[in-house]
Amino acid sequence: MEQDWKDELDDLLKESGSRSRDTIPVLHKVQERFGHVPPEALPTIARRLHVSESELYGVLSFYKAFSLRPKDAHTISVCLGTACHVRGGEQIIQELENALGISAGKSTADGLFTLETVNCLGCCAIGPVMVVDGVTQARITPQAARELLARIRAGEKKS
Amino acid sequence: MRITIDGRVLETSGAPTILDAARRLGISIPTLCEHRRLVPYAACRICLVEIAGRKLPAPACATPVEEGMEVITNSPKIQALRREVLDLILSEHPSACLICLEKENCEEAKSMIRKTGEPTGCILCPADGRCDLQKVVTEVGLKGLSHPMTYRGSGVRRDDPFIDRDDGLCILCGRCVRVCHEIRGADAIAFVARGSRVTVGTSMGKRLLDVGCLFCGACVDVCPTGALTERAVRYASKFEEQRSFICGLCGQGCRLGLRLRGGRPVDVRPEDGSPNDGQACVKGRFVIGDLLGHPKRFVRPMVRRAGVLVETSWEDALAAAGRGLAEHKGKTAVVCSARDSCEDLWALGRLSRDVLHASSVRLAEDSAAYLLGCPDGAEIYAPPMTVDELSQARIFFIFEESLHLTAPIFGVAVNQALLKGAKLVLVGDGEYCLDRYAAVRVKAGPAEAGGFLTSLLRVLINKNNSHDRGRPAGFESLRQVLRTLPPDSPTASVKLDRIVGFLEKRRPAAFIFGPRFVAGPWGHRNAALLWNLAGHTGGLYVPVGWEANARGAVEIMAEINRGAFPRSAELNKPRALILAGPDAAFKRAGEEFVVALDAFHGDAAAQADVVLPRTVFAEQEGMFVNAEGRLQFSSAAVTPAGEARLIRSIAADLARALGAGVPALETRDAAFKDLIGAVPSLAEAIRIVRGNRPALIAGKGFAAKGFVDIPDLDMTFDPAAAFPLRDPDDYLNFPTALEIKSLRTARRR
Amino acid sequence: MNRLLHPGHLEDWRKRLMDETVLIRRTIVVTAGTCGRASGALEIRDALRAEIDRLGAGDRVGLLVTGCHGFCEMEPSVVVQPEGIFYGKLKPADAAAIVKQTALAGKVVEKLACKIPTTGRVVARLEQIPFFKKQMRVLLENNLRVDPEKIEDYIRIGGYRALTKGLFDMTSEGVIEEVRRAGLRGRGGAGFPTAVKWGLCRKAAGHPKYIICNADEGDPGAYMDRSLLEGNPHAVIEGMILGAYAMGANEGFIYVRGEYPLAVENVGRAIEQARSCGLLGPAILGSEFHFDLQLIQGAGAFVSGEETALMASIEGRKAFPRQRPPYPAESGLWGKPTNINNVETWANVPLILDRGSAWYASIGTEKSKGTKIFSLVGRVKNTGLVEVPMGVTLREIIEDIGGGVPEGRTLKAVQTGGPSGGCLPAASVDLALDYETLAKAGSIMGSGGMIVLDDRTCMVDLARYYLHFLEEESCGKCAPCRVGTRLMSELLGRMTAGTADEADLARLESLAQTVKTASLCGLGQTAANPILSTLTHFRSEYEAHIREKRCPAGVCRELASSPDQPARPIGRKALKNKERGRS
Repeated sequence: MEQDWKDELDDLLKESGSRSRDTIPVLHKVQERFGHVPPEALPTIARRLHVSESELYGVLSFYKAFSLRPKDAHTISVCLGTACHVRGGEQIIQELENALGISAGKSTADGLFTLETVNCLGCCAIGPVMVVDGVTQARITPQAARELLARIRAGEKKS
Repeated sequence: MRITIDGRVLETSGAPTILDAARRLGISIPTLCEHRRLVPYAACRICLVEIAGRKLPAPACATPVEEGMEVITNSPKIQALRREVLDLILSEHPSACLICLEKENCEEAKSMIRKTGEPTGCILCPADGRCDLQKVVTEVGLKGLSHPMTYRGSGVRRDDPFIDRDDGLCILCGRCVRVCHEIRGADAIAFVARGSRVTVGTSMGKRLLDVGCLFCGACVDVCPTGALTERAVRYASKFEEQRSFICGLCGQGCRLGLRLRGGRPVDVRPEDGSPNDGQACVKGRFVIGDLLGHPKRFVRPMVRRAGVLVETSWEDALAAAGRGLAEHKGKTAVVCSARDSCEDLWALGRLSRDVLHASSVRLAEDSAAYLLGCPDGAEIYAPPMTVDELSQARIFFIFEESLHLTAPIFGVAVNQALLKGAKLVLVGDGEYCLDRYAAVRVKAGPAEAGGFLTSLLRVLINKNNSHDRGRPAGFESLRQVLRTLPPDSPTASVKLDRIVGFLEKRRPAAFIFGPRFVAGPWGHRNAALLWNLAGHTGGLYVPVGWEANARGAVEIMAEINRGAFPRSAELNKPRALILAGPDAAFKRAGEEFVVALDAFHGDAAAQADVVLPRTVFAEQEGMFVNAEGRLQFSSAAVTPAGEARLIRSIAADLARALGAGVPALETRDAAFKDLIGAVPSLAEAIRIVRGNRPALIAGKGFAAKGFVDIPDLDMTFDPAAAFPLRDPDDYLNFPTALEIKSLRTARRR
Repeated sequence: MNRLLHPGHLEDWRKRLMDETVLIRRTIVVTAGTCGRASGALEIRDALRAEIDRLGAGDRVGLLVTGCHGFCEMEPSVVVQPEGIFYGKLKPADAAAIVKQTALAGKVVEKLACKIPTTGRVVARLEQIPFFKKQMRVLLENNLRVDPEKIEDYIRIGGYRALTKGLFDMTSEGVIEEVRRAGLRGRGGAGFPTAVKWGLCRKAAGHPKYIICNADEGDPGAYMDRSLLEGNPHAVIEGMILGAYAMGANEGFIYVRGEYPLAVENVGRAIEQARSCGLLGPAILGSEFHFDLQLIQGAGAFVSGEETALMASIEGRKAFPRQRPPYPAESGLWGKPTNINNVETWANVPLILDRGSAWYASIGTEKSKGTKIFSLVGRVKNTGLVEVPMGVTLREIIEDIGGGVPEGRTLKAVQTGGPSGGCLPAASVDLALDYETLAKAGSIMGSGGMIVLDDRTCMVDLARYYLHFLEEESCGKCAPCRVGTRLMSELLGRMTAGTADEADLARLESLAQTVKTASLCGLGQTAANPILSTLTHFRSEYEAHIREKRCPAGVCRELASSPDQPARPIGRKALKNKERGRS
């Protein structure tokens, strides 16, 4: 199992650039494939990019897009851009935090939800906005957010 | 260019920074993140100055002067701004003591309470008294703090050898990260995370040991606070004096400063100036103190009585040695060490040649001759070359060496060049610190590398682009020989053309190799190939080795042996032996009497009949010629351990014990005069050094002219075996199976 | 795909493409940018497609899926061309009526059309709808005309014609001169004259040279660039090729914000298409000029919009800015001369070359030429992207185009320029929008974010919001910004939580000045603007929070909204502050 995972990484790196300037594209690729950047993969990736492991880790930890932790089944990102803030984005995140019992940036104990905030999705006209599992949801109200959680939970129970 | 700083005019050429210019005028501007060896970073914002006509103040460290620029460094506005910035910095640095009203009285009142875990104020801090932040607070005149204190630390990390790290004291000036990258090329530490959570750290918070740190100590040396400290020194009292000496632990000849308190070593710091210019390595930086006071040191002479070595007095031991040696005059062999100073070697040589009439005098190190890249049979002698010259090279061929470990200062020079865009061709069958910098990686050990070098030489010679030298002797015959070899495979040709492409665009080249590459049955061939390549491309021929005085030793041994090059010959069954060099493999075989001049208990000394305790470097003065060929004088930084004596004195003592005192060895001055009278290359170098110029030993006439013959040119090289590793620019052309395998191997480790 | 080896090939292709579409009577344009998709545009598209197929009308009715038209409030929406009949806030069930009545019969479906709120009059056509009526859409109009997935659409409407003109009829100096005459200024914020910047890079010693499109649109509340990249990526590419030709660069980068997946996808595809047509790569259109573009996807760091940080990011490092000088024109990517312009600037270049500098210079004011896209969001009826000539007033945008503040509330302020910008109070609505006027009023044009605030907005809370944002986005390199943004954010947190005193206000003001003066890059130097501009115009609100523990707008939950109303229980912010204290 673990070997499969490593072979997959090797295959992926084989097709990607190998200069230090390829660092960010390569991290994007790895993240896309595995859902996160596995910490065990750092030495291999660093070698491929001809950078030191610490330097790679420094870059990775600088950018918000990269995560060393596997994401949970459902990722909810609430936009806190100015327009969404002005239209009540804070209330949405508060609602979700209360409903899930976690603060933003954390995951629920059952491994079902990861709650994140994002600084602007550029959907300012239809805010407040949140992205649930890659799908942008427009004009969210606290009520709608609660209902959405219920829907996802119901779906999980069924399957 | 003409600029004004605080009303004073400076005429300057080039493009110095405002800070440089101000310093030239003697105007002091406080700085924190600035360091003279590092690229300006402009992050601490302490050196902000006003420039007429600009809206915002500019950092003096990173702003180049411009014609007619008017700079003000000390207006009340700028002073207030500096105080405010420092106020912000100190809100993240335990600083209770910095602004304490009782600061003046504290020195007397405080007890020795430094052994707390995490410092919360200066008197608890390992950097108290050596801290740049303390100085800047005084200089800027900060009297009080206006922001709530935030402690950023996560406890002191002590899980690495030598170095303690304390985030809580770090002001994020980045000097350590930058020196690790810009100077040492190790990149073991980096800025991690961002914004108010940023720290200096390692990958996944691993130990330094696990992220490629070489423990050169450069980060500790540049840290302005107590965030990075040497553990052994962490709670030691401040040193009282610093004495300079030349490190004897490898061939780089680093100038180090031994810091002492009460005559005892506290720590070692690299000194400025050539050759190491403020850099050192793990050995020089962290282990010399231990070495000087090592429990295995011989502190008194010993003689064998009833089969057992027992301590005795010098008189007794010398008498015993004199008696033993007198019996075997003419049948005594002497083994010296290329680690010892010129004076020591000369004294031993005189003793051997003129008193003992020794049957042979040789250097202990098997690799001694190879240090200069002149293995048996090759008429080659590496010309001297400075670290600066090395850092000017634009393409490097490095064979079988992890320079960061074996030749750290050359490693620094190579790193400087690589950062400026030089290319690296790395040849070897192991894994090396420089692996990730290699533009082309050739997988070939000393045995296989010949094929690669032969093919490379042939491609170059066929192109006939001999570097400004016309066609030196041997060119045509070499070309003829190379023609007879089978042609390269197409794959090999592609790779070779690429390397030749680099060579055409980038000059000069440097060919760097260690003893292993020119030892063994292939040694002569490899040396000859490299010599010819260097000659043909006008490149540097750079042997690196471990012995502190290899070049000096070769000069002196040649003189002692009357011009013959010192080679490791059979000892011709000597009856007695003076062992003055470290020979771990020494097995007593038929010698009736053995005298060891040694500093540490070990297998060789254990077999001796008489052991005479000798001093080590840092305890003695002397001349050393480093790997560059640079002649340097080392002084005694610390008193000898126990009753240890200089080898020069021991040689004089032994001569006297043999009843044939050599006047030329009796005093320091006499010995010195005797030496330079006998070895003209040293005499010339000393003359230059006395004129306050750096002197490189020119060599004693082994320098080859033109091409040398290459023995055993019958190998062709197998590109599949030689180029299995990644190759950044044309990666896609090569199968990657082997690469992935090697990555897996690496991962398992 | 055609490989164009000669400018003539391009024209031939364009002619063929135009001929192919003569039979289509009407085209239903489904706008499916990120906003549209989030609101269900793809479902509308599918319903329309099914309906067209059901009626067998595929030969007469075209279906065009485009990027965003800017009236995002009304998504999902369609425009039926050529009449320009606009239907907004649609449901898939509306598809039948749209196809049958409008697309086939040319009739307006009244129940789907917009109505003027006051009179109830139906306004179906784009040019009648107030939101569009006052705009001048030279950039955005093409978003309704091209499917961003098809280079053919861009070529059909005249795309890459400017490139032919530049490459074959003009010298590189000529291109710069034309841009200079047009008076184009950088749309990224400071408004530096584009031609001057190009000239510096062109003259700079050093080779190779690089050009960069800064599409790291990080200002929260602004999305002009996203819309352009999603809707019409080839315009940006064409502008960049022209710029590269003018400056002598052979390699370019488009650095797209990572949070814009659709823009990344569309730009990546467009680059591929341009390359396979011979519009990028060696010998473009058979000329001697070669140029290629690489897409870089950002990874979530606001500071990478700063030009030196952006270059560090392209080089594969942390987005740490560095001290300027040297400026990028002299020493940029890998130490080589580099030019950086933002998306909107690049998108203007083909227009200038195609329609001429005189036309372009006729738009706008004396010093600010051309149009500017603003993202009009916040407390305003019609939110969306508006493109107007430089020099219109805030009032025209907010009232005429935006329809004013909804729900009978009153306008309090307008925030322009994102976190680096400032707030303009309601009294300044008659200011003309150009670089100089905005700067004089204490704000900046910025990239074009325009957030309308009404009386329900707490200015202290807004400043706290921005400073919290900036604290998270500070790179941490220089001390004033790293520590200062955190301290300012903490102070504002205390003010909105009712635990601050007068001394805190003084400390905030002094900190703001220090951070502004001493920081290394633009992020830090402007980080205090949200505080300084709200303090200038709304100081009393700060004082109410501190002295009376009262939030006049009723936003800060820990505080009372009026003197006689008790404070509400501790909310999320206090919790968060507590958490921070712990960690």
